[in-house]
Amino acid sequence: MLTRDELARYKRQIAVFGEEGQLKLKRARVFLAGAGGLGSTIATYLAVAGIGSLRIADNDVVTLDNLNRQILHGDSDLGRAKTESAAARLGGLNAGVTVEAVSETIREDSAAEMIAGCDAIIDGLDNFAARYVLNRVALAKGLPFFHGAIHGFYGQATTIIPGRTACLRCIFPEAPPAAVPPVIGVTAGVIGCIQATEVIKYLLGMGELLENRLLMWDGLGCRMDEVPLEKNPDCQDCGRGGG
Amino acid sequence: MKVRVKFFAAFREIFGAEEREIELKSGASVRDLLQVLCHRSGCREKILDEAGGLRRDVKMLRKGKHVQLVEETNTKLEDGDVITVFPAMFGG
Repeated sequence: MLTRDELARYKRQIAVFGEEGQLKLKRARVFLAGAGGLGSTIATYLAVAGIGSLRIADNDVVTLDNLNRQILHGDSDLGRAKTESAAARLGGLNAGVTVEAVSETIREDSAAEMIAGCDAIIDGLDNFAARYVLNRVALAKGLPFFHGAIHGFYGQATTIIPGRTACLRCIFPEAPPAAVPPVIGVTAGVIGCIQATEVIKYLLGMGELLENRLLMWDGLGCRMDEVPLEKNPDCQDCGRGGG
Repeated sequence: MKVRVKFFAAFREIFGAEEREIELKSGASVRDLLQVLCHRSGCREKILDEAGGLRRDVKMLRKGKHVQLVEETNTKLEDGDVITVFPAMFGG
């Protein structure tokens, strides 16, 4: 049931998807990997939308060069664990949301346990090694995996539904070479908002998800395009290539 | 035969176009297409690695499936194929 305060707080979005929809959000628990640029935007908009529980994993501390894009953190958080800073900021935005902070690295041997009890996995990561771990957990648990990545003014996003869509490994069989990508905060904002929109739609059962489509954002040209995707039958994570 | 190559993100700047139609000999492979693209654009080093394969930070799809692994660049193309080329993005 929604409380009187919740009915007032979410009035404008209850007008979009009803009290039943708001209850679906309230009952949801999602796993967010990364409290960086994408993670900041995703967590902010999921929190204000009234997602019941956000489990955020990040093993970093806030540094000065994070602050051009990581809007969960500010000057007073320098040196603080990102999950701690994120929990404080999100609690200030919406005290009704439970934030579970996991200050650990996402590893193959611990990821499944880390994600236990969650309804969705959201990618706010900055590397493909951990993304592949989450991709495999999503496939094994049959959970949706909301991918996003950014580079400068460019970004991409897709929604992976195990059994229905290409998985992350189908699309990107090899990790790109490790590097520190250039990033501007507004790109994290655009792609993070798309990912959060997808999560909300998925939880509500509304609209058309970004399935088997890679959305490409070109901030310089101010254009969005789509690349159609297909499952790879030989994929090493979801196909016969996995042995 | 003719194939269409669609460029995304930074590759639009690199190739100075959103899309190009490329004429190839019948039976040409992805590798042949890469050679033509690199020859015409003069930006070989942005597409291919030293061994002549696709760079790991370049992504290429044909009919929604990747054709970027070394063995996949031998994939034969068909008339009317649409190939998409975009950069690997991994920042968060």
